[in-house]
Amino acid sequence: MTFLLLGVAKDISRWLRDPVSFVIYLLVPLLVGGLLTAVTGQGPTPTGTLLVADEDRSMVSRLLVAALFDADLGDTLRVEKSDEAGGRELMNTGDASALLILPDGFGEAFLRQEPTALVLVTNPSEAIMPRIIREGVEIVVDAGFYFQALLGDETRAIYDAVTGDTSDDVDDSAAAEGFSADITAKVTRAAPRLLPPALTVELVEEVDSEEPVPLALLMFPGIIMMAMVLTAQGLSADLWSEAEAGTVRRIAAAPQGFVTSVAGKAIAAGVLTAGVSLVIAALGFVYYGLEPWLLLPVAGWLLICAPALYLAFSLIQLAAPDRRAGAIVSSIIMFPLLMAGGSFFPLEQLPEWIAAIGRFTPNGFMLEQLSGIVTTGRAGAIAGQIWVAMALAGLGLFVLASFATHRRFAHA
Amino acid sequence: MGDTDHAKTGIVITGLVKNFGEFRAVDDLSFRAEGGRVFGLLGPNGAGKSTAIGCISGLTKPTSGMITVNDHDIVREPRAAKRRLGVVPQELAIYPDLPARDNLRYWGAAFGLRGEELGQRVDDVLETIGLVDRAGDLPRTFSGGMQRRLNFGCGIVHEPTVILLDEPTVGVDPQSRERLYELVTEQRDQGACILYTTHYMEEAERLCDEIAIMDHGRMIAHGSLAELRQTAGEHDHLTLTGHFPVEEVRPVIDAISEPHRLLEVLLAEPNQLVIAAHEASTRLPAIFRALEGAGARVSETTLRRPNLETLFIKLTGKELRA
Ligand SMILES: Nc1ncnc2c1ncn2[C@@H]1O[C@H](COP(=O)(O)OP(=O)(O)O)[C@@H](O)[C@H]1O
Ligand SMILES: [Mg+2]
Repeated sequence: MTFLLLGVAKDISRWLRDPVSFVIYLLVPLLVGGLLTAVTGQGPTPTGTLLVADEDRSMVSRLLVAALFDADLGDTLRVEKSDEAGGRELMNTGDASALLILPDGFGEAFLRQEPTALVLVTNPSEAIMPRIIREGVEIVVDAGFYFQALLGDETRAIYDAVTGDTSDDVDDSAAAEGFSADITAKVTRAAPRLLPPALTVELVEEVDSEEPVPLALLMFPGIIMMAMVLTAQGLSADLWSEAEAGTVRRIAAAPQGFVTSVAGKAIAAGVLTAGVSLVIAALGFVYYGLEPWLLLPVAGWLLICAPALYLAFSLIQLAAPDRRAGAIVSSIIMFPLLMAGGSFFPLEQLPEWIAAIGRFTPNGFMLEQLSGIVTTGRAGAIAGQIWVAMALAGLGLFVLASFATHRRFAHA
Repeated sequence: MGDTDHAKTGIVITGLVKNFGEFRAVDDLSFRAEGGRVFGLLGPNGAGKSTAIGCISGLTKPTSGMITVNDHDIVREPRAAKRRLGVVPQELAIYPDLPARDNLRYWGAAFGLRGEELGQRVDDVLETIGLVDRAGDLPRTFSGGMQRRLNFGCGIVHEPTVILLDEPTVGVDPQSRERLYELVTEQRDQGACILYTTHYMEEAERLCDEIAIMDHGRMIAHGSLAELRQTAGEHDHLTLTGHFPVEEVRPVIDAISEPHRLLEVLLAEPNQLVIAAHEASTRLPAIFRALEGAGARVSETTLRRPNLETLFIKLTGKELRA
């Protein structure tokens, strides 16, 4: 026990003699996080613009547009008319959250109860507004479907009467709006008995997240993980210092204590790695105004993950022929891990196939659990089995690293 | 330090062989080193000294042969064998960025010391190695000699009864070297069995009670200093540097050495000549005349009384510090 504690203290005191490294481990994630937040222009309170391009200009499409304008929420969500080409232009420059296209022939198909689709183009750099818009559009479309199922014959008659009328006069819109309010009442009553809608909203570049979470907050766990990975990778290079100092061989000449020395190192590295990431986490908690007590489960998770991450990097170092190669190989592995594991772009916004891989990376897995706590605000967001599994993984890596260290540096 | 431990034989090596692939670094080495004595392993670089030390310390697996430390087999009972074994490696094995005192504490704890005993031993060792004043400083700020002393101290915190020292004075200034000699004799006087490797002949002559000379992994001579001196013979060694026509040198020396073979050419190279001579000083004029006649040019002459160096040259035909 004395030896284990002295081992932990030894490495912590040695490593803290080089505070510059830790400043780097702290600053890089903060910088990346700050930059990405600035680039995406997303603060904690989102505002957005929905462009509506009515390429159909039918009675039905105008009704739909009118209903969407009802959903204009002023500061939070603005709804603007546009045409498809102009709308796409604005989307490309990132000046709108989403573009809803009502394609030509939409009204006709809708009235004949033929399958039809609306196209909703969402801006991938925004997480929350496209999400809200999508739900809004779906509600309106659903309402339209119900309306059509209930009153299809009547509307078709009206439609036929006004076919060819492409004028845009105010009376029409006003009439349509009154009409829609009237119908909504009917629909609400009838809704439970209705079939699921045949209309679909086709989402282009859809953002797939369970809960609407601001992008910057989505980035937050990735930034914590970046600090963790950078620190763990950096500290793992100390194995070379030990090998060069001859201390690994010396400990191997002691009757016992070799495994304890590896454990001491892993604990020391774990404490410092978790410490650095916890500083980032605490800063984030202040910035996003999260519940302070949630920091506790976050700290627990970081503490259980950090030694495992350090040991994993140690194994990579031990597989390399020398310090230089170790540094190169571990960096080469680290950056794709950070990329795929959600540290530069939230997993939610990565192409699905990358995100799928990312969730299987050690840091991606750790990040998902961390996100669970941060975005749901539930301390128990990480299941008990996952804690146990992570502890076991750490233990397994510890056994491997002990063997590998002995083989590599204390054998001839 | 339990006296019972000293009743045991420090190190017993029987038929030790260590191969690295095809290469045989240690070849059939056998000796016995007792407590209260310094056993010297003398040999040039690459002789296999460090490899032998590695095997004794349990770090290197012998290819064959047997080693016991304090009567425990290092391969089959490594824990018992290593318990009172102290290793002072050839290369420093300390944390340069950890204060001297913390280094000692750490290595003491590695051997199971703790609490008050650990603190007491660390203080004692700091005293012994003369680093009390620098106990709180980082070894990377120390001189080479101080680092060597700390390296030595880290190997003795747990009061080992067998101490392996691998060329501890390489790259050490004369003053620190003296201090290390004192440390070694101190440990010996306290009853420890010390295995001391070196390629400095003077060091072995001065420090060691018993010496084994190694070359190419083999033990080529073994005994006390007196015994080895006897083996070296009565002959002085005359070492000449300059330019020598190798082919002609041997016949002319042989010619003046008859009829009693008073001279013998041990080594003849274009720039160096080593001759074993009975009472060499009286024969110098004759030797110089003969060499001159053969067209040699002598620029420097060294005359040595028989010693380990001359013994080594006699046994191997080459200089120890080649
Ligand atoms: N791990 C190893 N692998 C291959 N050859 C080695 C190894 N260690 C030592 N040797 C070789 O064994 C020989 C003896 O080395 P060593 O024991 O270090 O000699 P010494 O300590 O007497 O200078 C040398 O030729 C050296 O190159
Ligand atoms: Mg050596």
